[in-house]
Amino acid sequence: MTSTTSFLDPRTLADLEGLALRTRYIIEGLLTGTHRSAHLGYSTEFSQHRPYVPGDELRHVDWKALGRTDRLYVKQFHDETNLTCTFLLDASASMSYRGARSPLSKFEYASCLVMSLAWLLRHQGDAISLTTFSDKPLRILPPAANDARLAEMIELIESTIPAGPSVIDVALRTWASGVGRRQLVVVVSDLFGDAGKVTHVLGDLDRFGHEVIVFQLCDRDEVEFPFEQHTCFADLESPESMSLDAESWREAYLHAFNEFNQQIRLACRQSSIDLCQLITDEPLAAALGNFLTTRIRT
Amino acid sequence: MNLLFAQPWMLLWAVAALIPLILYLLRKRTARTVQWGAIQFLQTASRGPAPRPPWRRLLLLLTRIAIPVVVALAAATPGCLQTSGGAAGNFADSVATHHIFVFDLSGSMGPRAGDHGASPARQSIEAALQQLSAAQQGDLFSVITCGAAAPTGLVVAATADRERASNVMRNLQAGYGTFRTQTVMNAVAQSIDQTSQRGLNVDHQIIIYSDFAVADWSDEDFLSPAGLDEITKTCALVDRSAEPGPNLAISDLRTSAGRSTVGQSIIVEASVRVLGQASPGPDNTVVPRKTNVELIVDGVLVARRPLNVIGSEIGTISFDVPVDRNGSIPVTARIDDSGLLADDQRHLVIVGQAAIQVLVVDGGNQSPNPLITALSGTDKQGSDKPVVELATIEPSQLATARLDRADVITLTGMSSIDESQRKTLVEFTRRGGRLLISLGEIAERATWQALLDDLGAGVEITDGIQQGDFGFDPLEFEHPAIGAFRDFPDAGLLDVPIYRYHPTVLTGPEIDRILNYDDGHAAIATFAAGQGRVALTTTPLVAADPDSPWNNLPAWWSYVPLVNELVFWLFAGEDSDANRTSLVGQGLVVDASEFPFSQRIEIRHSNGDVNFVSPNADTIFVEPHQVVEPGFVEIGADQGETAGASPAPLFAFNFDLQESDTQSVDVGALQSRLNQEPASSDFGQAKSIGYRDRWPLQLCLAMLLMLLVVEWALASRTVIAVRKEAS
Repeated sequence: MTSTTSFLDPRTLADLEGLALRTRYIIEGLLTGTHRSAHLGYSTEFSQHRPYVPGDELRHVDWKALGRTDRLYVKQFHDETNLTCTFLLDASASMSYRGARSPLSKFEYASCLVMSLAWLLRHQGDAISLTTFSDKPLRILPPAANDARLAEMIELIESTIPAGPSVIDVALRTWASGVGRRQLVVVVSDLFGDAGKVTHVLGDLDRFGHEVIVFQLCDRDEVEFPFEQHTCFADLESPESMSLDAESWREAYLHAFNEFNQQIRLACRQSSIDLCQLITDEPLAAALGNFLTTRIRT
Repeated sequence: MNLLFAQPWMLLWAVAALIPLILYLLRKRTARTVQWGAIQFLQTASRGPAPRPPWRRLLLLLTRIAIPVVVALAAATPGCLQTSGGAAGNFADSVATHHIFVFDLSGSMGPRAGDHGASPARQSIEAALQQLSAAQQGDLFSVITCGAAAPTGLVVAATADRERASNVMRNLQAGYGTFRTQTVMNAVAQSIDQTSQRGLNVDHQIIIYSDFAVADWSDEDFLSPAGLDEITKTCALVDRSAEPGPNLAISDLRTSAGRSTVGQSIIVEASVRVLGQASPGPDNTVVPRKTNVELIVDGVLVARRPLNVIGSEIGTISFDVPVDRNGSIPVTARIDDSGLLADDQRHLVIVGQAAIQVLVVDGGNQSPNPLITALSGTDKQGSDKPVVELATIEPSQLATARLDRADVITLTGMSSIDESQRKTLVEFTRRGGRLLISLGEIAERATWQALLDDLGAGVEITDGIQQGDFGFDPLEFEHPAIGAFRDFPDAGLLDVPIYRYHPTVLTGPEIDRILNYDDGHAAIATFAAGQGRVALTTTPLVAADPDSPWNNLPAWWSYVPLVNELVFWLFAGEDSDANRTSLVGQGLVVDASEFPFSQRIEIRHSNGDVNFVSPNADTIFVEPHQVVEPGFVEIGADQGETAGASPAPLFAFNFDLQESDTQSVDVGALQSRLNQEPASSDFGQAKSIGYRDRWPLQLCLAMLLMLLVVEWALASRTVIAVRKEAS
């Protein structure tokens, strides 16, 4: 029997052509393992009866109760309002990095993640939106609660080539200024940039009333820095390069990297932002599980 | 303590240590480029202090540099000396040292063409003398030789007498023996034992002067014998690569017949061998040495033929030498090698004679005597002059006849032989005469037995007469006297009916059988007597009573060739000329009784010099200094000024520079070579190896093993450490 994990393994996904196929593959795998899950249908569950008052819609009258009690009752449900979820996908050049040991680049991994989450949300009738950004919002698909949006998102992502510098604070702040309604905001990025500014803008999103989930993606090389020889590191987002003895600089690099991540984690915890740090050679189960757990809690 | 290397050129491999360093620098220069998204963290890190290169990397680089260095050190076979050694060394820090000088005086260390006297042996001695003079007071010295003719072994045993050791060394000469490890080790152990027995507490230093061009030499055998591990050992190697290599030498020149009649020819055989160590060719193949062998007869070059000598084999070449005159004919064979004169030529004398003088002592009543008839028919080809000149006498005339003109005397038809006749015949053979004795039907056994005893034959004629039908057994025709019958079965030799013969018992060790009867008894035997030779037939060659024959020999067609072959072989066969060859610089004893006159003896040398000696008692002693050049010395009667310059030659003595003879050493020639001063002290180029156990080599190997382990650990641990760090 094929396990869910195998469906979500990036190495398996890398063998599949096209984001749509990858997304369906992920979702099928996910549903295979969770089809009896109580998570489904949470927004349409019955809540209570109340006496009918004039003006109530007749379609909510419980006719069976009328037959049993000769009184009119109206069925009440949980919030039936559709959720709007906006995916903020980092399309800067640093997202195009793919290490020697990773089957997918960070952007490809992020694309699979976004589309999988979008499909789930769309499956329960929520409105979904997608915005790609680098140093500013690049392309925007406004919220829509139809299946065509999924296809549009796939088309947009597949036509996007990661490029340009990454200035997350500016990009998110610009996006937030054009959004009025409270939303579920899913940020998928490596978050590379000024740690203070990044954490600040994430906090602002939370303060604006958005529910924020952050998926921070890193490549295995970025986490371990396994280079040993003299290596010239050319920046993906600028003409700058650094030539150095990688092994001797490993410790200092990892220190800076871990300190950055620590700042991000601390800021997210203070702002009650769900942060999920992922490495691109890990299965997507962690990301999806984290997302679903968050949704149950809310 | 000095560190020395057996193969110092191997240290060149240490250059390989640059390879890891070069690779390191090249990799640094040609750094690979990585498109990197997280450069902000490198920038953050670069704002801090520059990190040091990881110690593991540096250690790995150093290890990789050290590995080829240690490999080169090990390959160079390091050794350690407590005292300075080697050809140009001294003994500065030696307090009380027992210096054991070992000299390889085998043939390969001897003089060669082109070394101008500075033979390796001489160079070794010079180097040893220098070391000897540099030794400290109180040191002991032993001298060991191996390979020389004499002396050999421990010739100086642990003495403090430096002068004595020095004198012994100076007198050492190369010989033609073999340098053997075990022989040397026994002598070394003996010299060390002597110091131990005397309670001397000294360091032993063994210095070997050798080219080690011997098959059984083994460093391992020498350096690690039981009980000698703690000795400081020094081996001085002589570099022979610049030398002209092994010489070819004529090792022998011989002939089966020392004399012949004029018009005949004699086969002369020359042997050529490689003197010294045969150098292997490419891929250890044996390279044949080529030379030309020239034959000079009577001063005239008559033949020049090529000859190849392969490895240590002896090449042989034969010449047909015509005898075209009377007297001693010098024959010289020489090769066109550039070695010593002694190596290049050997000499031989053959004697030419107009005809064989055969004296027939005829005691029979058969007329004509078939023996005379058989010998009379022998003519030279193209000449009506007979090869055999016959003279016949009665047995009664034997005691008084002039026998010095006869080459061969035949005794036929004689029933007995008296004492005077016996003495005459013994004297005849003692001076080199040949005797053919034919025992017949009327023989009185006792008188003939007495003659044979006086001749020293070792033949016993047993009582009785063997009767029956017999034939000859040719003994596979091995004897040259009947060799002519080998391929001619129709010659009739094997068909001759023999009815009776005198059985004999051959007891003397020097008796050769020419023919046997088919029942195993000897038919014709031969033995040396004095300077001459005797052939004895046990059935008569001439029948005394034709009506009652002992055999059908005279009537058989093999009779004539058999009789002639016997007479010719007796005349020209092996001459007892062993004492007629000597070496330059050595004396020669000549039996004076051979000379039937009392006047002075004239010795005429090949260079024209003449010495005179007077017969002294029974011998003539030719002084060593009188013969200084190789060649022939003719010895004859001094006939005075009136008789002309040339004496009547009686004997020609062959004096050789016989260096190429493995059985003896030409001391004079070697000495003349060795006495020359070396052209240069090129022994200083000799290499030295010092050993004190093998610990430097073992240390190198241990270091190499350790470095390999460290390298492996570092190379693998680097990756492991990174993974741990990342996790």
